[in-house]
Amino acid sequence: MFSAVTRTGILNASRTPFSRAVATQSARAFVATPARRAEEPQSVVAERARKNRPVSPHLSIYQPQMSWVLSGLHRNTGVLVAGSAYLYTVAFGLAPMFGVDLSSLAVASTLAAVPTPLLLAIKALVSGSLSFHCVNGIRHLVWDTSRGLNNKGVINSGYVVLGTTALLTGYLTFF
Amino acid sequence: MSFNKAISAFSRLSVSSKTVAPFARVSVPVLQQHMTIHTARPLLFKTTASKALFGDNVPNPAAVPQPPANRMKGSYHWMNERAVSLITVPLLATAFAYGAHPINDMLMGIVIPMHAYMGFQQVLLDYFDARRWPVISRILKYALVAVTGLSMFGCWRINTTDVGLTNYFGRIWNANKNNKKEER
Repeated sequence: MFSAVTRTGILNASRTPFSRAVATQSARAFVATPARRAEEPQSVVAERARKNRPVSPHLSIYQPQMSWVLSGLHRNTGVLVAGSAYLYTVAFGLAPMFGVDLSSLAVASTLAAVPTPLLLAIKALVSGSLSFHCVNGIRHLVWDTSRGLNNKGVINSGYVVLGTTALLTGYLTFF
Repeated sequence: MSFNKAISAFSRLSVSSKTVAPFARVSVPVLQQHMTIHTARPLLFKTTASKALFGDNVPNPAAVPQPPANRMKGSYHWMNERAVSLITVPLLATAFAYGAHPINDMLMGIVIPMHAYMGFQQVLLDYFDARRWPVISRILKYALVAVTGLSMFGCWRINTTDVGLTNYFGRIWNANKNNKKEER
């Protein structure tokens, strides 16, 4: 901080590391911001700095916790199930326009020809997403009555959700 | 000091007893004042929350500038979301436990697209904020409405021209089994 004032003078009042690097004609090489060419406007320099600036690790270092992992899963499974449902029902609605037959018999006979391991994998994915979203949704609704809104409540209800989801997924996939 | 305490005590009273504190000198229309108080008191939560959050200085809702009350915005929107989510639970449970029923299928064809619409609306609000993405957010909003409408139409078509949502899903799900159970 002090060096910024003494080196650059009072005119350069901003004390961000970037401006310090720009204003001082030091020989030290910054990886993020190469020495500024005198004719370049500030916006060009800022753009280059933004592209080369390193990002602090976030997702790679944050410890997985019951709170945010299940919350992210709730949104992802919701988007997955809802997106698939949207696509399928819209396709069914518009099918006669394109001459595609999406009746239950046609689709069922097509799916019967798919190899069983692949079908089981798809069923596990779909049933897992749907059952997790439903059970976690009930957990959300319980929270909305202001019950269980503490650390222990979140963790315990999270375990209940995961167990129930495992049971439901196993049942739906294999039976 | 005691005068301030008296005022804050009185404003605390006004929050929990649905009357407007007479000391609030704001030119807010009476209907809007009434709607404002109504939105300031959510139905499910205990009103002691305001004491826990604000202590002695509970703000008088009538004195805070509020946007015009709208049945589809703010806390009403939140309650609508929970209501739709709550309705889907017995619908899906019935489809899963009892099996196919035309009324259940019809209701599912309406409620599930609504629930999906509200969920996607939240996703759009989070990732494509209208202030930062003015054009993209508007396009995606209209696209979401269009896709939801088409999806409701598709569900209606499944319910009317085909075997119904529950049976349809059951047939697809059990396609590789020899005994196709109509009830699931």
